[in-house]
Amino acid sequence: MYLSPTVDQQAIQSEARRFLSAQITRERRLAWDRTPEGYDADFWRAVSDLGWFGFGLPAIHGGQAASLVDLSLLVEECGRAAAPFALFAQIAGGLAIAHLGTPAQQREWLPAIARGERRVAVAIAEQHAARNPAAFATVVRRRGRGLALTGEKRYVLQGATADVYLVAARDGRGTSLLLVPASTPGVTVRPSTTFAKDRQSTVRFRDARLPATALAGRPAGAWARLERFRHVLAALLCADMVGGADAVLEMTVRYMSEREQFGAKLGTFQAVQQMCAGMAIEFEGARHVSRQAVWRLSEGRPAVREVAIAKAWTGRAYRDLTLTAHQLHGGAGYIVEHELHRYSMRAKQGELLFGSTEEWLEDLADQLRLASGARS
Amino acid sequence: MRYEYDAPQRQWRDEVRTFCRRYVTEGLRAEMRQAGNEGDGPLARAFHRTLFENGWWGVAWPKEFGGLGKNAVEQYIFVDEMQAAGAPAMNLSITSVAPTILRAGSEEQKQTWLPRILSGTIDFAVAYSEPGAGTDLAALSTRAELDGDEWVINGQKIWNTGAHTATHNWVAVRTEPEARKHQGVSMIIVPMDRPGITVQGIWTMSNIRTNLVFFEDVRVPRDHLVGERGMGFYYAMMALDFERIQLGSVGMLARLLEELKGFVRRTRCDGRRLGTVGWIRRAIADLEMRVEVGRQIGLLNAWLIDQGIVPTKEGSISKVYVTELNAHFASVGMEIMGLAGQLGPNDEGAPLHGRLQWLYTIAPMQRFGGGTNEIQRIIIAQRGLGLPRK
Repeated sequence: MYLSPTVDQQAIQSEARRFLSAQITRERRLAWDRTPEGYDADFWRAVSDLGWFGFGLPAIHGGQAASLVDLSLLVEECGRAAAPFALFAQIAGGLAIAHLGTPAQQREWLPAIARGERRVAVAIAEQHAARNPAAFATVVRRRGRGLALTGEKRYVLQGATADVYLVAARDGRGTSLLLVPASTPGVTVRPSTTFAKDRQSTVRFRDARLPATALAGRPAGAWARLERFRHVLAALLCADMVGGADAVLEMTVRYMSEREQFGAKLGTFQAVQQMCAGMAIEFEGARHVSRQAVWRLSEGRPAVREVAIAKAWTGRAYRDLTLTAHQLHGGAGYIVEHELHRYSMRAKQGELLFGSTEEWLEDLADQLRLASGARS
Repeated sequence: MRYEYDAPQRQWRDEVRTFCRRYVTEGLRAEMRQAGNEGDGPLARAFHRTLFENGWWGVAWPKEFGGLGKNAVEQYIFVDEMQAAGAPAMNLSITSVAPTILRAGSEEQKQTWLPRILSGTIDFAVAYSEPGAGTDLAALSTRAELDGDEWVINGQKIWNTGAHTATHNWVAVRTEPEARKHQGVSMIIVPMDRPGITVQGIWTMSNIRTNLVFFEDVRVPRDHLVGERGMGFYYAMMALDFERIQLGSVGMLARLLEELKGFVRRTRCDGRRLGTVGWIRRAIADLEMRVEVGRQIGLLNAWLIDQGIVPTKEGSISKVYVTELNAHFASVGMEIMGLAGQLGPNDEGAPLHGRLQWLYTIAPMQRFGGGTNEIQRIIIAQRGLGLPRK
């Protein structure tokens, strides 16, 4: 048992932290808010040059083959800095192709994704479907020797700037996964406006013609593989949320140690101390159930229970921490020049992504086999 | 990073588990339910004797004093398995008094007291609180004055649980009336057979007896003052830190949760199995999550101790979290049981032998006892997060 990052892992954290805090200035962030991508080309290049987009990808495809634990520490720092969510989307998209794509697709896409030259987006959810494969309206059909894809995907992270989409579609028997270049005729993109200042889109496929090689792996068992990959996404998002929650706790303690009212630092008031301690308690739990989940996935252990616990607890905890932080910051934390709102909106968004808190608790209940009859 | 027991830790866990399977009998558990979990009955005493004979009385003690010298994570594993099995808790002599003598006592005091505690020939009650000094322990006014080679003790102690059965009392007294309040306290061992001691029972809502104890010119030898004069307050705080490992275990909740799952799997109400009812499924999943969080926090606390860190913040986090989880768990669990949730341990229809209504009644005491949770939160805020003091 070793419940903390090793010296090498701490180096990953501190380098990432130094880089992000140097890059992400307040002025730059406010400028990014007005761009369609949510970042600028220099920033993207700087991140690409550090190799972050290939950090968790296989070495034969230009990656560094970092473990999921190591990768999660990088993601934790992105969450701490409330870095553009495009970084998460690109890291997650690369992993998606590495987990779900064919060897040929990996050869074709991963090296450019690792270098940051190509951008990838995962397109699963629809207006009326999120977790039930039978409910998807997007369908793929055979057309001669190729395929035709029709349907509409929503909430596609970085959908407007992607070069390629990983799409789930019904194929008549089950679920197929496909890699669809954004340049395919029949593919159109409409940006959505989400409250967390990330960039999501609705992506439409109207009889988009694809070669048979667009299929990502065999259709059989594709849904199960996608479900397993959703666990990886949820665990990585937990890492992002842990980093964010830590930052929120830290900025709150700092402000409470400086701000004076009634002739005393706010942090000396017991009501304030009780609230800050409550934040610390929820946070400590979040950090360790999240790291446990990532560690188990990284080691290839069964992890559904641990991921469910991590996502449900960390989502709630991060949201609670940001709401308490708002109460303690008052007006100072309510203005756009203050970073707190970026965290509080991301926290609530995090609760909704890759399975909501209540959905994960439902999954956890399934794991516990409560309906299985008189066995105790 | 590694979120799993190492091989020797797993081996130790299996060893404790095997021991529990053999010695924690249904009869013992039934006796404990009757005794309000105080572990006072004949079977509980026999169990403690077996622990002793197995060499497991002093799991955390150094080997030179006959202990196993186990580290904090191994202690956590031990407590967790014992609780999960429903074994009687280790008494305060082992978890609180002996470790303090080990760290603060003179060589002579260690030789005098430790072997007798280890052999079970003496046992301690702990006398800290007074009617006028609870959470503000340093305000205590029971005093001890040196008269020749003896301390003369006058005052009263409350919540002195076990004082009516223990052979000795571990008493916080004021020995330096001129010193500032935190620096005037000492710890004195008082044999309960000394003249001048009156023990009055107080019964609590959880059926556990505690006591009000009066000291009138009670005389004990000078060498019964343990460690340094005036350091008693700090020794008491140190002893509470040791207790945190024990309090931080969710072993009992993990066992109750398994029993609760069994209950919802086999119980029907209004034509439906409880395990198919939406809110009940969600509530159980929520408890599963909360117990796992508690396990991680408790393990973290123990693990940090083994890394040579004094986990002041994490110890307090663990105390607050687990005691509040106990209250929440009992409340939600009783709701899941519905009307049957209110049945007491002696009612044959009581699910889980009425353990949840019992937990519900002891949970308030856990939250305000051992340093109230509000004080713990102030410790977390000031010493953990570094918020300013007045």
